[in-house]
Amino acid sequence: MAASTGGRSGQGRNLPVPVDQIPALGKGAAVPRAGAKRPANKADKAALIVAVCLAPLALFVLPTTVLFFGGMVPTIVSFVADRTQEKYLPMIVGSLNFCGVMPAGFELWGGAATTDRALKLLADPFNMAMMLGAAGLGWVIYTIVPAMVSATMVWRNEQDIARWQARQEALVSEWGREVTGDVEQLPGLD
Amino acid sequence: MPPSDLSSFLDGAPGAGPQGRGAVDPAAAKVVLGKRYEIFADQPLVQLNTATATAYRAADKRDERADMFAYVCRPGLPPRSDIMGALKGVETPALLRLRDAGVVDWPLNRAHRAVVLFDRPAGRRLMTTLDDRIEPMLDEAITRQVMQPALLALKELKARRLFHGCINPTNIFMRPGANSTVVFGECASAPSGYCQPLVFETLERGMAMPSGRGPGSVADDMYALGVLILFLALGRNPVGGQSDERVLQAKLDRGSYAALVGDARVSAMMTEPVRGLLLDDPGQRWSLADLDLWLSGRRLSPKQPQPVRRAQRPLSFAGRDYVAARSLAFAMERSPIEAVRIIENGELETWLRRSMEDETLADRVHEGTQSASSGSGGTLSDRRLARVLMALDPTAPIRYRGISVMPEGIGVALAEAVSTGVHVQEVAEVISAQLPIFWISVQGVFSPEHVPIVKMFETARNYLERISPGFGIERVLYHLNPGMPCMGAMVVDEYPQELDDLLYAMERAAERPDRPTEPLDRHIMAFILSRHGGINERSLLGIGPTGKPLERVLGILDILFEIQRKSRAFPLPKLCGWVATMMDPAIERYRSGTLRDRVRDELAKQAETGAFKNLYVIVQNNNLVQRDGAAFDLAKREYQLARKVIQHRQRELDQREKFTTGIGRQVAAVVACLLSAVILAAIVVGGVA
Repeated sequence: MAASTGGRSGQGRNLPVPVDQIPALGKGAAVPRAGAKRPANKADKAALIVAVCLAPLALFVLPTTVLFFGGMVPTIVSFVADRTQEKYLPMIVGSLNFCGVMPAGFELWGGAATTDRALKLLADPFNMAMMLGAAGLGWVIYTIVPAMVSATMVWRNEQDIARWQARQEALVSEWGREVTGDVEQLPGLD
Repeated sequence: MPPSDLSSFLDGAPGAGPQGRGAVDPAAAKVVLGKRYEIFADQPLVQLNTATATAYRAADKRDERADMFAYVCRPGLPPRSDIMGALKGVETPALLRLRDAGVVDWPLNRAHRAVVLFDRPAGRRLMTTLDDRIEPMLDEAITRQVMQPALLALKELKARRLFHGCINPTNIFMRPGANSTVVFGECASAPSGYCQPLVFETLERGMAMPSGRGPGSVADDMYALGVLILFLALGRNPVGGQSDERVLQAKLDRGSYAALVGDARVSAMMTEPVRGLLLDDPGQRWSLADLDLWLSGRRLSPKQPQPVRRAQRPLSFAGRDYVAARSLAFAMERSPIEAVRIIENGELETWLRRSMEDETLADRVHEGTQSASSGSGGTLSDRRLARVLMALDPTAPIRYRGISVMPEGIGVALAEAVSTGVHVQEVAEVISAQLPIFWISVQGVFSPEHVPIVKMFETARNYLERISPGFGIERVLYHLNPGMPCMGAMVVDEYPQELDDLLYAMERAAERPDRPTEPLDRHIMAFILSRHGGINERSLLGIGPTGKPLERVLGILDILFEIQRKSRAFPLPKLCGWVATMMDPAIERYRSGTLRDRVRDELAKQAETGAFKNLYVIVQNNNLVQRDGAAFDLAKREYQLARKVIQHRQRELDQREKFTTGIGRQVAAVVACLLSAVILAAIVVGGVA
């Protein structure tokens, strides 16, 4: 009750939390529906241009391209599988998948960087396990962490509701039913 | 501090608070007055009783030889407290000496009573009743034993502007011994003239009812002395066996002397003073100087009464013919229906103009008839009759609907009416119909004494027209009777005469389980306002019939605070506690429950101090009320904020999958990126190494 606030109307000095500082209360947090088609935008065009420019470079460093293209197949799969706009799944899987390919890459760049050698490295079970394992770790993170965050948020909201309800009861106890303002609504708080 | 009782008033001593009045001595059935006089409730003196007071033996603590007695006055009839101070200073052997007066807690009634202390008379009454027959006194004995002491006593009284009003043989004591003189009895325990038998009253005062005779004059005492001489000379009541009305009628028809003496034989020596003293015209009646001259041996030429103006032709009224206006007025009072008829059909006025040939009187009657509509109260015909009777007989009392009062006797008449519950309405209507003012207007001569009377009754009429507490007939009662104790039901037995008496009486009443719901009733309010006019008008409106509960309790507190400040009666914890329990409407002004509890606790705590100021400060704290209101507004805003927050959180819970798809995946992405960066850094560092 005693916390001060710079409320919208400037009158809520005794409010515990400013209205516009309540998480996700003041600022809209609309999340687009999964799988919704999105129109082509400038970013997409830029990505296409970058891809076209990098294509000759990929041919120039073909062994590296082969190694990374083969090693990051799980990322490609996740990219295709994730139909959301944000593409968190390929981002998570890709970042860890990349880490799993990097040791084979260092080995390739440390000797003769040929396409055969790149294929041999790809076929090496240890390298394969490292690449797929890293990608799998990404999948695990993608699965577990949101669930944990969701459970935490639910717990926090329930605590918040209980706390505010207790405060309401205390106010009614102190000031009577009139304090609920059911008869009279104060302006400026909608 | 104002005097708490008559005793302290007489002594000039300060009031002594709640225990300062005559207190009951638990050791015996006696009470002590003024810390000096003891009154023995178990020793009545029946032979000294009067119609309005009972007598008990009394003693002086400082003088064991003093033989005294006390009159315990009847409640509802105010004793003559206005003359007691002066009467106490009268020291003549011809008059019973008043020692002291006051109010005591009388054990036989378990209530406070006014008491008046006198020296006990040594002898017996001249007569125990007016019907007694005694040995006729010789002229010389009457002169020496009665008239000379009477002259002495009346001179003393006149010097102090006092009127005895109770000179008759049942109130006169003869000292033992052959050559002893008489002692005139008391005149202070009852209103002026209240105990005087009608035969001893002048014609005008005799027509008034005992409580409405008003303060008299020395001339009235001289008349009573004339009747007394006649009684003693004859040894009996000269009009014994006759009704009062018949005596009055005889006085009207033949004059007092002829009516009282009749066929009786009065010695030639006594005839002269009796005739002079019984003259009905007070201007012609013997004065003290005349009596003094006669007693000195000078014989005065006998005064003849002025002839009464008579009509040439009689007016037949109620089966009898009348030739004099005064006799007619007396008859009209007794036959009001017939009287109204001859007034309204003009018969009376015509008779006055043609037979009586008195245009002045006829005009006066006409004015009375016409002006009756200007007043209010009662019916028009009653008011008209009263005014016509006054016009016909200006010196007679106001006669209205069965009551008969002199203007200055209205106060006592009202006091008796209030205490008995009889004729209150009639007395109120006399005032609201402005009859006293008309009475003054018909008097032949203007007297400066009439000016304050007019003002007094104008004020009384204004009080009567207001119905709110503090006004009405109760206020008129205390306005017209300054010495009247408060008649409020809660305190009437305490006989409070001043504000501090009243507050202490209320303090004791507050302890009683049968106390009323509120401490201020109409009588108490009227008493307070009559003793202390400086009460806030807003407070008076608050306790009025239209006042809301909050205004009412604030008004009560305001008034009690004001009169405690004025009277300095302190402390009054019980009364304060009582008032504090009534403060719920004031406490409900505060919205905060905690604040209400605190205010309630604080009121109870401060009530124990017995000072209304402390309650007043708590209840009339407007700053606290405003702060409470502002805090309430903030609380309402906070409640609405809580409601919105809860709704928002509930909406979030209802869509909890968004936690997973939204922020949950963002967190997972951040975690994955950070982990990747760490792994990558480790690989790079390891590769370089």
